[in-house]
Amino acid sequence: MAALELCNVTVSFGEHAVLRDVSLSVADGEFVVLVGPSGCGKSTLLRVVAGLVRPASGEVRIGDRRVDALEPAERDLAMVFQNYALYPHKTVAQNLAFPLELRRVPRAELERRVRETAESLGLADLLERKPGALSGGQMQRVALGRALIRDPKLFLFDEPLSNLDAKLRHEMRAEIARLHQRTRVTSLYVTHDQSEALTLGGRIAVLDRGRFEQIGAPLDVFARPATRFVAGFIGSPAMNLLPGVARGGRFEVGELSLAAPTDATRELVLGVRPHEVALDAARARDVSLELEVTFVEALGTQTLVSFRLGEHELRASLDGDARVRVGERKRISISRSSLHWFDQGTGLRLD
Amino acid sequence: MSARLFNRIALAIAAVLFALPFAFLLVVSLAPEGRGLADLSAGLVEPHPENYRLALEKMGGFGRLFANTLFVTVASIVGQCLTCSLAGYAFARIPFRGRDALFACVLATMMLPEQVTAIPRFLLFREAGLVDTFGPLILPTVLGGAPFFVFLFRQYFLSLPIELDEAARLDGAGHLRIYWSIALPLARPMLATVAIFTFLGAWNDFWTPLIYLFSDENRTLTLALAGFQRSFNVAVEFMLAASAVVLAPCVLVYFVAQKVFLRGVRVAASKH
Repeated sequence: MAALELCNVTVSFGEHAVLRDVSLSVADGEFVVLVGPSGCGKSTLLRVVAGLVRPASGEVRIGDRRVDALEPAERDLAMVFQNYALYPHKTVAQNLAFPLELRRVPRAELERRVRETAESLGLADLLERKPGALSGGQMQRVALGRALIRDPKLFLFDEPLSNLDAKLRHEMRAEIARLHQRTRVTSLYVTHDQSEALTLGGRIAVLDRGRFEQIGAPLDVFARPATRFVAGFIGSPAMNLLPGVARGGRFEVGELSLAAPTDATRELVLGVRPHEVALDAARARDVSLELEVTFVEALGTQTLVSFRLGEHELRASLDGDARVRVGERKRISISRSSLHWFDQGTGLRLD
Repeated sequence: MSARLFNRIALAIAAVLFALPFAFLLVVSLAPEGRGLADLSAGLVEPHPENYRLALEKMGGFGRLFANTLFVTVASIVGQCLTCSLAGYAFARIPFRGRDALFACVLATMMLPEQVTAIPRFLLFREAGLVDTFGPLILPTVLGGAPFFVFLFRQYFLSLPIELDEAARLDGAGHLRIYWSIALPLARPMLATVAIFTFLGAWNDFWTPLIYLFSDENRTLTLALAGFQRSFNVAVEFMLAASAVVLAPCVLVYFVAQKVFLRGVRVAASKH
């Protein structure tokens, strides 16, 4: 086990900068999730740590060793790939044994470790099968096993669950969390799925266009997104982001008019999470107004209702069956304490 | 339905056309000495299987000829499979400066007809003292001398997911190990294709042995067959019987490896 340190890492493919001056430290035993939209550079960052991509500048440290000049194999880390990357011509047992064979582990110990790893992942009955005869979940388990068996200092996960169906994804997510609790190996996990990030990460690092937007505990990031991008990316359904102008202490967007956080004239973005919009009678601390319903999605445990707000749309997530119909006018209320303010130009949070 | 019928008839006609020379070869090879061409039914009415034994005797040292040919063929197959796949792997997976330019050069050599390089190549082998040895027949294959096969292997390796290489690198494998333990076993269909094409090419090769092999003990089957033509005292029946024997392994290999062979042809056709 070891800590991981990235200092001012920059990666360019031709003219295009994929990672710009990125720094991150992961403590020994920590589980950090890199999350961001596709093309944000999160996989590239993982591959820089793995040694599969050479950064143009910057430092990578694992434990107290600087590793950026080392070959992937010398870094003592294991990686789980999105498409599993199992060797198709080798059986499950041979797949698990391959990294040990390369390290010239004696036969008896190798067989013992293959057996133990297979048992811990419920693969004992599948050892003689080839990957082609396994289900997606089983293949991912073998891939986990091949990473585990080497007892590496660092685990890297590159979107390991995105090829699985929703149910399996949940199961494997729990399995990976348990695995980390058991082994306490420092882990870096890449995903584009914000709910995966929120549930798995000890900390999450939100990446956009090659830069970190915010790094923090999942619920802190959810409660106080540092930028407009994070606000829109983390949380499902996504936060309502309403751009408007603050003038003379008032902020107006559509029919909505409320006290602005600043007296200056300034272009701002107001953020409201859908679950903070309520249909109940307004209280004193609330913003309240009547809006027309334009769209209703009933999901069983909740109902997503869209309201027209000038030229924008305000979405509300209401508990259970909200019994609203398209075309109705409804009074909604939003607690003032749940409002998020961002600068329209820089995208940064105001408070 | 009628289109299918038409296809079948057309294919049947083509099959007969292609089968005719073989039938002719077999029928004449069985005919009594001197009568095969005059009377095509002679071989059927009154077959002389001993023609085959006599033909092999007239070839002179059939065992030696067969062993020579087999040696050259097997060495070519091993050489071709090994070196072309190595080169293909490097072109597909190892980044180095000037790789694509070098690959273009390799492909460009396909444009040169063998006849153009025959004389310079002969001079090279003569300098190396390899004339009248199997060296000139085998060395070019061991030196990756089949750009088209290099190309086939490269395309095949490019189609393998790069994550397999990356996983192996993280597992601690170097390029050579990845090539040997991962890429090559996965390239089995390509290896079979190259092996069969090389077999047919080397087994039937007449031109290269004709240029380089002079002494009797080094002759290959194709050279011995051609020897029949030059000697006026050997009847056509024996020549065709010997041809049938020389041809037999090719036909056999074709039937055994028909599927692989057709797949190879398809790959070759689609990649061109």
